[in-house]
Amino acid sequence: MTHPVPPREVRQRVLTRLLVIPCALGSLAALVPDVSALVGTRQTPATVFAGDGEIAGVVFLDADASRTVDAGENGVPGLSVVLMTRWGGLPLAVVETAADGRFRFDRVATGGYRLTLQTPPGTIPTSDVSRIVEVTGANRAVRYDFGITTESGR
Amino acid sequence: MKPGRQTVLLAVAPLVLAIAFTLWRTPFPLSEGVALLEDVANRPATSFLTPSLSYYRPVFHVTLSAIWNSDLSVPMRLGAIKLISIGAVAALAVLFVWCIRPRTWLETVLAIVAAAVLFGHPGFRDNLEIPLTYTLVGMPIALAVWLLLQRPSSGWRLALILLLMAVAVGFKEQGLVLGPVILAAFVTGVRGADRRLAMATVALCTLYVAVRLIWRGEWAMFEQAVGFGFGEMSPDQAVERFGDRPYLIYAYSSLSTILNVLLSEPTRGTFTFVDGLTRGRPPLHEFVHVASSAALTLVIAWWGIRVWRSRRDVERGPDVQLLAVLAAALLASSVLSFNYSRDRLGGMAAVFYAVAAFHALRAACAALLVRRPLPFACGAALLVLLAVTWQLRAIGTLERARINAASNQLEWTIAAPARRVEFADRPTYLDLMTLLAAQGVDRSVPHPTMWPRPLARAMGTPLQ
Repeated sequence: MTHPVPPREVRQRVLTRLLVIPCALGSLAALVPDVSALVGTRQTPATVFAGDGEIAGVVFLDADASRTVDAGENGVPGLSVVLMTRWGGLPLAVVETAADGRFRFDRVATGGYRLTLQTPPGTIPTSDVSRIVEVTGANRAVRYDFGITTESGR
Repeated sequence: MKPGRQTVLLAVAPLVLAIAFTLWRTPFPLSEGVALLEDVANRPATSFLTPSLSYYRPVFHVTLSAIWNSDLSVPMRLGAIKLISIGAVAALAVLFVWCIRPRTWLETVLAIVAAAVLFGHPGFRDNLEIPLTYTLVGMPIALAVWLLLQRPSSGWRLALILLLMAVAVGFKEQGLVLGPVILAAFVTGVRGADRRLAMATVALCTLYVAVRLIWRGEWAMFEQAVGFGFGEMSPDQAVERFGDRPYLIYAYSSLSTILNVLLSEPTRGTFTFVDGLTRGRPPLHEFVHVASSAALTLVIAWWGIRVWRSRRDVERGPDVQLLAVLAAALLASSVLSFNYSRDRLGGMAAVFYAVAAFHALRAACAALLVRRPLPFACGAALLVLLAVTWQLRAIGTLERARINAASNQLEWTIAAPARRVEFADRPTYLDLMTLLAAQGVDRSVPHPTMWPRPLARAMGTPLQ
C-alpha cells in the first residue's frame, strides 16, 4: 500500500508555521524586561533594614555532605554572605563570617530575600549557595546554614 | 509583511535591542575595567603600538585611549566605550541577515533560527563583556569581509578587506582568522577573492607574525588557567605538568576550541557536561547546549558531506565555498587558541557556523519536504525542537549579559573596600575607582529575569 505524499507547498506551509512558533516566542521573550526594571528597586537598604527581623546562620565544613552541622564540623571564617533583593538579586548588604563561621543580618524588615554565599575557588557547596529566605510576622528569626567542602574533602 | 531580510531583522530586533540596552546599563567591572582604564590613563597612546607583551591589541587600546583621554564628561566617555560593543552587536545582526538572503517564508523562519544560533552560541555569548571589546568587533568584520568577497574584485574592495582585517587583528589577534578565510575563499574560487588579494593577505599575515616574533619580549608558556579533562590548571600547575612537552596541551586546547564551536563542550577546555553526566545529573542548561549543538552540527555535517560529494556541480559552488571558509575559520580559531581555550576564542568561527546552519537547515527542509508522512513528521518535530532549544539559548545569552551586569555590581559592592587597600600605592587606580564607583552600584543595573523554574533551568539562569 502506498501513501500519497501531500503537495510540497502544503508541507512547506506546515513546516513554516510550526517553526514560526518558537521564533515568535523567542522574540517575545526578549521583550520581557529584566526584573530590576520592574520591581528590583522596591527593596532598598533604607526600607529593608528598618525592621525587627533577623537572618542568620553558619558556614561550615560539611565533611560528610549531610547539609547539617555535625560534631567536629567547624565553621569557616572570612567568607562573604550577601543579602539581596528577592527579585533580581540586587545586593543589599554583605557580611563576612566570623571566626566560628557565623553570620547575621539584623533589623531586617518582613519580606523575601535572596541569601547568597560567595564560595571561594576550590570549594564545593553541599547546600544551595543561593536561596530565597522569608522573614514573616510569625518567623522573624530566619536561620540558614551553608555547607561547603573542598575537593580533598577537608 | 513579506518574506525576506526585513522580516528577519524585525524578528531579531527585540533580542538585539535588549542586549544593547543591557550592555548600555552594565557597569564597568572593577577587576578588568578599572585596570584597563588605568593603563590608558597612565600611558601615551603610542606606547600601545609596540608589540612587546604577549597580549597585543593596539587598535583596541588606542581607541580606548582616544575616548578616555578626550574632553568628554566621564559618563559620556563610558558611554562611548560601551557603544563600541553595542555597535558591534548591531552590525553583527544586520550583516548576518544580509549574508543569508532568505527568499521564501520557510527560509525566512530558518534565517531567524540561524540568527538564534549566532546569538545563542558560546562564541558570541562569551564576548559580551564590557569593556573587553575584542573578538566582538572581529565578528561583524568577518561577515563584512565574507560579503565583500562575494562581489567582483576591485582595487578599493581589496584595500577595504585588508583594512578591515587590520582593524580586526588590531582589536584581537583572533582577527587573523580572516587570513585563512580569505585564502579558503581564493582556493574555492569565490568571486572577489583573486590572486592579488590572496597574496596581499599572505603578506599581511606573514608581516604581522614576523613583527610579533621579532618584538617578542617575555611570553609565558601559559598565560591563563588551562582546562584539561574535568579540571583546570593554573599556569604554574600547567608548567609543572606539561612544561617539558607543551605541544601536547597546546594541541588539546586547540582541539577544545573546535569542539566548543561544534558541540558547546568542552568549556574552557574542561568537559563539564561529561563530568556532570558521569556524576549522574548534569545541569539542564548544559544538556540543552550540548544536545542542540550536537544536533545542529550533525545537520551541518550531513549538508557538508552532500555538498562535498557534489562539489563539481556548478550550482552548488557557493555551498562548497562556505564549507571551506567554515573549515578554515575553525582551524584558524583553534590554532590561535593554543595557549588556552575559551568560548570567546571561537567567536570568529561561530559566525560562519551560524551562516552554515542556515544553509544546512534549508537543505534539510528541502529533503524533508519530499519524504513520506512519518519521516516528515519526525523530521519536522526534530527541527522544531532544534529551533526551540536555540531560541532558549539566544535568550540565555541575554540573561547571561544581565548576569554579567549583576556580577559587576556585586563585585563593586563586595570587593571595592578591599581593593582600595590592596591598590593603595596606585593613585590613578584609586581615582578611577572613585570616578566609577557610582556606576558600579547604580540601582538601575540590569539583573537576570526570574523565569519560571523549568525555563530558568533550561537557560542556566538563577532560580526563583
